[in-house]
Amino acid sequence: MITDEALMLAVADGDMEAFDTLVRRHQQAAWSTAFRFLRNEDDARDIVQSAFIKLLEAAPRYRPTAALKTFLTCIVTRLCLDWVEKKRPVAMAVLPETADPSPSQERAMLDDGLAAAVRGALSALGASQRMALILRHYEELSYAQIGEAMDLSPKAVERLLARGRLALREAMEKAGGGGFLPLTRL
Amino acid sequence: MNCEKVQARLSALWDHELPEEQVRQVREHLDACGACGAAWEALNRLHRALGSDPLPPIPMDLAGRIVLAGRRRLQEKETAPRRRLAFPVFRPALVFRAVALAALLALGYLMGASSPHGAAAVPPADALEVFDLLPSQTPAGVIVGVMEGPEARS
Ligand SMILES: [Zn+2]
Repeated sequence: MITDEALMLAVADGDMEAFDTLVRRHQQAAWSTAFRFLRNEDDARDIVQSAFIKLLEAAPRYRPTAALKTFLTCIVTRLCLDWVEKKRPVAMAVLPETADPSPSQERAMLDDGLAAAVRGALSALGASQRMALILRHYEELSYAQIGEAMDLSPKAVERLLARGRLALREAMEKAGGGGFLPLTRL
Repeated sequence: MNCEKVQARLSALWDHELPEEQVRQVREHLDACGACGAAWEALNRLHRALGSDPLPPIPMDLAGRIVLAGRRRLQEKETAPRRRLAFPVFRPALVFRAVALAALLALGYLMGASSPHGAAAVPPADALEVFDLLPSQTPAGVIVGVMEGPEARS
């Protein structure tokens, strides 16, 4: 498989097939971060597109010193944080309605309810805490990599994550009880 | 290590980012302390919950749209006047960096400080040239000093 770095060098020479390959290879990660942060498909699509266009424009000056995936994550992260900075509201997830589930539906509803409770709790966090948690949990970045993407020290990332998890836990317990059982609403 | 210190380190323990000697101390405490054990279990549940949140599929042909937009952008650039090459000194990012550098130098001179510390802020993406994230290739010397943006490391 041709490496990201080789593809970027080809893109710098105007090879749009190489750009196409790069986009298809990395769109999932970019989409995951942008959507989980913004909670809106249209906004996330715009951010992902902007990020890849920035990557394309950067190609002529690219030198393969940093992993391309890390570089792209930095761009997506900063675009997302910038988006929030401009006071565009992030869509709030809605907590699940409580119905009387049949036993067969109960498991699925439990999963759905849990997911909705997580979304609600994440939405209530500050932008930095939310982004750090997303990069750590879903993209599995190290503290150093998250720090690079968010322009923070690893120690600051550590504090951000510890506080974010505590706030998340409290929000979920509030929404669903100590065991995070989201079927019992307040 | 007391309960407060242990619980403050659980998040980093979960992420395998705790220094080795602290890992042992925290684990020993967890084995012996019910309250901290419960906090660790809550962290477990939290991560199962995060994992249960599904991601919607990527919009239909997102990649195709991006590549199309990319082609358009390159065409625009080809037809646009090549101002930047003729007058590189007017690049806003360079001016910003020069001003920032001058301000930092002045501040450092006035305060006699060895290294300036500002607020921990992420530079907005619009204010960043995308290659602020990578080592610079062009007139390096002057720019490198301010490329990392506001000092946020502690
Ligand atoms: Zn304890």
